[in-house]
Amino acid sequence: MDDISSEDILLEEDESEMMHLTPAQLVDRMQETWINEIRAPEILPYKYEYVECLLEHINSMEENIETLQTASLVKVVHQLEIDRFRYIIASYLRTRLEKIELHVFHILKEEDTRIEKNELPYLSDGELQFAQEYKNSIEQHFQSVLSFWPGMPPDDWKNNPVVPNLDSFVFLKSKENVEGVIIDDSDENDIVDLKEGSQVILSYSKIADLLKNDKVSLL
Amino acid sequence: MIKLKIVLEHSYYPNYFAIEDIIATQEKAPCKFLVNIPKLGKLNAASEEDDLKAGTSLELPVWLVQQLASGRQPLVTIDLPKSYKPAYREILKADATAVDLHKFGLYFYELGCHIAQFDNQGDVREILVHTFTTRFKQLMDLADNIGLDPSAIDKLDMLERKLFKDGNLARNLLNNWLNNSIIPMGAATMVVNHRKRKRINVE
Amino acid sequence: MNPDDIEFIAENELVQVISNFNSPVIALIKGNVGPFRAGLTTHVPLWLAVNLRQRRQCKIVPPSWMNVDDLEECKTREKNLRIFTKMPSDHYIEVAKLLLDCSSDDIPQADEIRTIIKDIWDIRMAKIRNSVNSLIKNSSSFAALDNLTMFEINSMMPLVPACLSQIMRLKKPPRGLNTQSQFPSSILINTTNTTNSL
Repeated sequence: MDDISSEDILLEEDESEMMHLTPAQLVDRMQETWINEIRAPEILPYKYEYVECLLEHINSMEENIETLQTASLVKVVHQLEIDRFRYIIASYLRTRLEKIELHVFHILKEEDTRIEKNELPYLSDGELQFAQEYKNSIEQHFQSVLSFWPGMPPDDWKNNPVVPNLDSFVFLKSKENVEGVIIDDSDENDIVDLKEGSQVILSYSKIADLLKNDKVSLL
Repeated sequence: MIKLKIVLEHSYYPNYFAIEDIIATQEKAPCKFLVNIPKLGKLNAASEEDDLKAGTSLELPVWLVQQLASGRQPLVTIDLPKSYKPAYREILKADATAVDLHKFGLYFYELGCHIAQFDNQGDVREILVHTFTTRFKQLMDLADNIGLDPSAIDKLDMLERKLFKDGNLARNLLNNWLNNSIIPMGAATMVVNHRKRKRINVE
Repeated sequence: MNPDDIEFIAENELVQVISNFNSPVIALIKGNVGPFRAGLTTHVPLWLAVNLRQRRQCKIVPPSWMNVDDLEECKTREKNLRIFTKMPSDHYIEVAKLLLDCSSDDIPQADEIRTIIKDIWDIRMAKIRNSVNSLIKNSSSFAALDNLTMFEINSMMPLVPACLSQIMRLKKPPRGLNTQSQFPSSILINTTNTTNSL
């Protein structure tokens, strides 16, 4: 099967990496991205390139096998593989939507800050649209519910958004040697070196940057 | 089968809408008024005066006390509710596992977190951590269905109950997975395996 | 994640099968499988092996570690050492369960293997419970978990990370909500001279 899709749908910044990702590597990355998203307390940067690229593969595969006989072994096997990938992608996207619903005000605020600072957004276009609409309908709902009581400070609830607990503990595996991870805020000398392949439990806030820079993965 | 939702995977963390937080701060704490408050004499059932006099001691809900005791000119000083006072701390230090924490306070830890902010010697935080860590083994055993004595669940405070519920749900899913097999592998089949092994040894 | 999700991930592991049909290479997205020649072995992902076995289109070749001798040795080592030993497969429990369920006829001494694996699992779970207990007792903010498999780590969720998170919260006031600055130390009771303490 040809990798026709890879080049067309790349984001520029990832082009160099995606150019030499084999489909097998792409699948592994997608799986890792999915697990990271499930385990991380906050929403992570959306991996547009993995999702789109894998969906392209799935779509062209589905076209390829359309002509095969329904009961043929080859078709069944292809379909099984496709179903597995669809499960990962669906679970990944659903996990992100659950986080958006839970932390919508916080996430949109962070997203605004990122745009101001000219940083890459964390949400996909679709997610951003969903988040804004979700936020609007919550605001409308609260407005109509709270209006019966004029004494209620109108923005009190808005000033106290639900935020993820970044101090949550997570299990992780180090993808390379990392030195000097601070494990306790109260003592800056309390640090640990992570060897490639080692597994630890730590507070998420201590490794959030390492995770986003692909130095560690969550378990 | 019930799926563990992501919300459950991330442990309880207080927020503006958390009913746990609202109920916890409903508990009362003793406090003493530092200034005269006009027209609030009604709050003090023992007095018939219109104004609330400085020096009056009252029990008020923690959410209210927090507001009155904060700011540049606090109106009240707050004292620890009885479950966090030295006498009760001693009971917890002696053997926290024997304590019916549910009776100590429905939201012993939640309320404790709020109260701890008025105790800058750190005794309250210390007893919260001590109580939680000492009682953990019991909590884990309950969640893992080991040495099951369901009455022990009644003695958990609400935070422990939530942790128990989430942990127990996950453990049951795990045991189901292990047992959901043509020849089960899980804990429930220990007897079967045991017999089987004996037979092999005899052979 | 459910145990089913971890099982799903374990299904990526490769196993050998002996097919009873012929088929050229099947070019899956993740890579080629086959060619299948009746009576010859080939490597396939576990999910495919289980599916083919259920259709009676192959026999499973048990992984090299899945035999009584090696597993007994593994069990003895696990029993004698205080640390967690490295398991022969990163997904030993899931692979064993899937293969023993769908193809116990293909695996010599399947019942014994099931029992030993269950024993190894029990020994390791007991070790996990001990480690977890002392981890919480010391309210540590870090622990190494080398040689634990993904499934074993998942067995600690959500209780262990949740309890550690709660301990951190009990130790210090939550961010944003009712931070200490909101309640200046000067109004605290229960201390005699608090004005200078912060």
